Amino acid sequence: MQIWVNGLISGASIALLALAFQAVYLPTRVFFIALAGIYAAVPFVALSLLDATGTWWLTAPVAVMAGLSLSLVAERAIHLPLEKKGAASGAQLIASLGAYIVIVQAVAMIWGNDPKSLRRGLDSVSHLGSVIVTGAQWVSLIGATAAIGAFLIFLRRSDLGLRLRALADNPLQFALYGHNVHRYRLLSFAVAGALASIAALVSAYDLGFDAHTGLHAILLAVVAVIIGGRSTFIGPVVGGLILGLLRSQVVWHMSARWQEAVSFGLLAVVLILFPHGLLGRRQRLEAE
Amino acid sequence: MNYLLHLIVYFDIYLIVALSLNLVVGYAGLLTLAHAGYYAVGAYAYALLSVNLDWGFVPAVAVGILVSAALSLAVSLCSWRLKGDFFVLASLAVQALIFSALYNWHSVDAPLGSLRNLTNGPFGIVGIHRPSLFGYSIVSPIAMAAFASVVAALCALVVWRLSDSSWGRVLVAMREDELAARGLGKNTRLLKVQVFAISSGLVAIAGALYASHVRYLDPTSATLDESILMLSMVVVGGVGNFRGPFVGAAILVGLPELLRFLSLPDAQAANLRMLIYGLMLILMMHFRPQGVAGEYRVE
Amino acid sequence: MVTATTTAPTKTPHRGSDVDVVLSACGITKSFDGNAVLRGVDITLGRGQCVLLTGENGSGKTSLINILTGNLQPDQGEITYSIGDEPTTFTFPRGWWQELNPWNHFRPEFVARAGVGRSWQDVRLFGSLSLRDNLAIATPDQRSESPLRSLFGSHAKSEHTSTVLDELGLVDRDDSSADKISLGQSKRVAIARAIQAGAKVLFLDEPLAGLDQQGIQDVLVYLRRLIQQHRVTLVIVEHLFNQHHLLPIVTHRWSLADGICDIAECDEQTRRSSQPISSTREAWIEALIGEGDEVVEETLVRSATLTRIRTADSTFDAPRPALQITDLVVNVGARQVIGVGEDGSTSPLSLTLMPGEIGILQAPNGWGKTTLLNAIIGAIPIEQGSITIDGQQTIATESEDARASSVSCITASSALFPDLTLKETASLAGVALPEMFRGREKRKCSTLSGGERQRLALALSKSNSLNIYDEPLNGLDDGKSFIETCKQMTSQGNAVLILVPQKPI
Repeated sequence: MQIWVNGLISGASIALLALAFQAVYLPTRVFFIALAGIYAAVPFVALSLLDATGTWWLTAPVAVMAGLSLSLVAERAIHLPLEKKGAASGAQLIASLGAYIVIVQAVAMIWGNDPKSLRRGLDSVSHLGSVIVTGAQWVSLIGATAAIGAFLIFLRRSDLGLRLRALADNPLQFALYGHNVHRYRLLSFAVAGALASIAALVSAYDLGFDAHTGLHAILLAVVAVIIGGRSTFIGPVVGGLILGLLRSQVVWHMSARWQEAVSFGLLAVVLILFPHGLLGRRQRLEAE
Repeated sequence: MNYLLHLIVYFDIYLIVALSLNLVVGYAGLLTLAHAGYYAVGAYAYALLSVNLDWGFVPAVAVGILVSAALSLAVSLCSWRLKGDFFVLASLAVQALIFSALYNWHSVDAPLGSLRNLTNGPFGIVGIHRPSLFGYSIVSPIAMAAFASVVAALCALVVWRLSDSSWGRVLVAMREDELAARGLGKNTRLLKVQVFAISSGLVAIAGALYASHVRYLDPTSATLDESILMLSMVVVGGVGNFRGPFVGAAILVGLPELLRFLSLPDAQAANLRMLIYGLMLILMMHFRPQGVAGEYRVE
Repeated sequence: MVTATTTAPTKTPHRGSDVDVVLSACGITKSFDGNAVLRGVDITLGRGQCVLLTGENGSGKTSLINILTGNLQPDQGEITYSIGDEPTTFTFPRGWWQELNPWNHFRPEFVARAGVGRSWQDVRLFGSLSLRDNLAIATPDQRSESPLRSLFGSHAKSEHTSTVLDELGLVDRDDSSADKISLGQSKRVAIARAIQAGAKVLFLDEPLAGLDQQGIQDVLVYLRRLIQQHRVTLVIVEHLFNQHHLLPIVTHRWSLADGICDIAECDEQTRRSSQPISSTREAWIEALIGEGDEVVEETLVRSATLTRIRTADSTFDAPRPALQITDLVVNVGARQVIGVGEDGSTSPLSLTLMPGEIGILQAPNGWGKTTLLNAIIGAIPIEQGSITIDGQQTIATESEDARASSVSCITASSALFPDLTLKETASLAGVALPEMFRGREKRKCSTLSGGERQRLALALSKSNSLNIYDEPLNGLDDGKSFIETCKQMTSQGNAVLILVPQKPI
């Protein structure tokens, strides 16, 4: 039971980051690796703020805003100009990779390369029957679930959410109905930046962080996207939970060092048997 | 003088890396981030065989090439089904797998190179032999520079022959329009397996050269940062032709030398160097997607 | 379960006569997103036949070609290739385990090696290779294509391609790169390339599209030569407008309608009756013309025509035209699409539409209608010239706001938003959901049929200063509602631009 709970908690944070990735990928088709840089940078911002102010109530919103702004800068400075030039997706990806490197190296130059922690002192522990859940895990679970839920409700219920889905579905038709594509692109980057910042904060609070955690996290998130299905917003959530549960089982039954092997093994199996992901819908492709 | 010779060896290593990666990225049009993994596989193969079994350069490298080429199936099979961004991601996953294998395959109570402690994990392998050819060990810096240059020249010859052949032509056809190439009966799946195997085999040579030159090896040479560095070398130099990799390797060797004038602390300098590579990638994509000396734009 | 059964070569009798069947398919079905495109197609193809495959746009011609050439897996059915000595049969649906067997794949390269070749509508030569290399590369199973031989063998590149280029009249151009020749030349090179690859059965997707008279004659001469000298079996998809050029060589006709394929032999009778008929205006155009309207016919470049209907509400002294296109050149990839003259030279397109006017642009497929449409709505950048809508210049991907306030547009493949419900789509368009879709608010657009989707798109379009319709009559049962809409728009002083494929003149 404990393993399942641990898996659920880590799955929720993978799912959150996967959703952040998908929030950019579906509407804009930009493979936003720079999200890993944002994921790495936000906890450092939070750490500095926490040292300066001492309160989470100020720190958390400002850190999320910082991540969100970074994401907007990436769109305005890199991805939108490339889009206007009609750049291929590979060019977007390489540029995003470049942005990731710039952010991470800047972070490392400012705050150093050493691991850090956002938590002060020992963690509280609560018992639910035989299951032990630490305070940090509660924060992680509640934070991630709330953010995922809020975003999914936003997508389903609000006008802005509807437009984001429409942009993901058929950008040309969306523009023809008189909506400004660039504005909604900006919205999708803002949402992604905010979600990734929340994911970064909860996992940094739970597990600690350093300047290079981002890429591994985003890698897992994209694996979750592919497993779940890359054509929907629900897919990444399902994929993230599956991945989290699986990884905790691996830790329990085998060893932590096999986590990567099993994760990418699952990716391979899904790609062979369900090339469009578990929830993906088949599209009218020219071939294969 | 010795320092210059040292730079020549580095240039040779980078050149082999860039030439081999250019085969995949430039000629076949498949953006991969797993190259550092195969580089490290070659380096580890040489290190283990030379430290444990006292093998010479040629046989040890031969084994490295074979292992690396065999492992390249992990990427080439992915390229069968995945296109574009998702293939890049899959190659990244392969990279992560190779790194975690090199990092985790150790145990403190078993000797280095045994089945339970193949790589010595994060502690790395020390005291790797200098390259030895037919019993003669290459010791002096000038001999090492000459030897590395000869190896690089051989690799360049191989790449030049391949890219100028009808095989290279089919490769370009696949890059231009894979569906059209398949419509002409070209087995592009086989082609992908071949090009990844050749490219991974070549980069294994570069890895072995590196291990024998630095004489110490740990899993950091298989990190993603290394792969990104390799990719930036090819992208900056120019993809899809023969002279791009030369330009890319020269820039990569030259840049740290320029940064030396800033006299930053070591750790900061390393970060700054990477930062500049990242910046170069962004600027390249904006202003010259085909690279400094390239012809074909990244897709 | 067994899919690649190999049996002794057989001759299947077909319609009473002994026909040497090279390809047969039965019960082929295919649907996309729940929309059935093919509903059980049965065809047999005899050696030496020259088949014309006809059908409306969207009737599944391209899907059928893609399936028969291995580019697309059908949902159900059976396909047998018997071009060589050993027939190969594929049965669908296929299990995932069959993918694991490397020798039994339904993929284009395997079908190509069985002797089936194809050409694409958009040509698809290898742009950065020279013409000689484009042909040389096609030669099947060159021994030098293994990397080991490339490394150690001599680099003798195949020389016999020069005779092929000679046949095509391109012998001096063998070193020029493939994206620098004219469309007609590249179409012939693409066909020659498929022949060079060993194709005995050749599928041609609109080989005449976008060509001028000379280009059409050159391709026809080449096709005749293929039939006579190389004994190639041809299946040609061609648009109605160009079909009469092909009739002298066509032996059979496959007509695709409602997902079913009908096969008929072409004798002298049908050939004569399908000769081009003299120009009469189509009924729907007549219906658009109201009493007292002035009709002007203009001929544009490359046999396109623009029919202008000037209604009583048309204003010609208006300060701003609804649409003004000046010296327009648009490229798609490396090729010029809009602004090409008859002989391939540059001749920019200019066109003006005043408020209250209806313009009907009839152009052959491949002329660049869709490209023009995309340029007008700013979806692709333009190379040269300007497009002004209601006085505002459009710049690709920069002025969504300005553009959207003055243009409304319905595209031929109006997919709307497949994943959104009808109600959500209506709310995006800013229009109430029309009466006929009430009760289906919660259904997704992808569940609608093509015709329903078109009707919905029409109902959701708002009247703007410029209204563009791409093939508006495609899925509609009758054009009545469409014609009503158009008349209403012009009466409000708005302009309408209708893009339709050309009918035979």
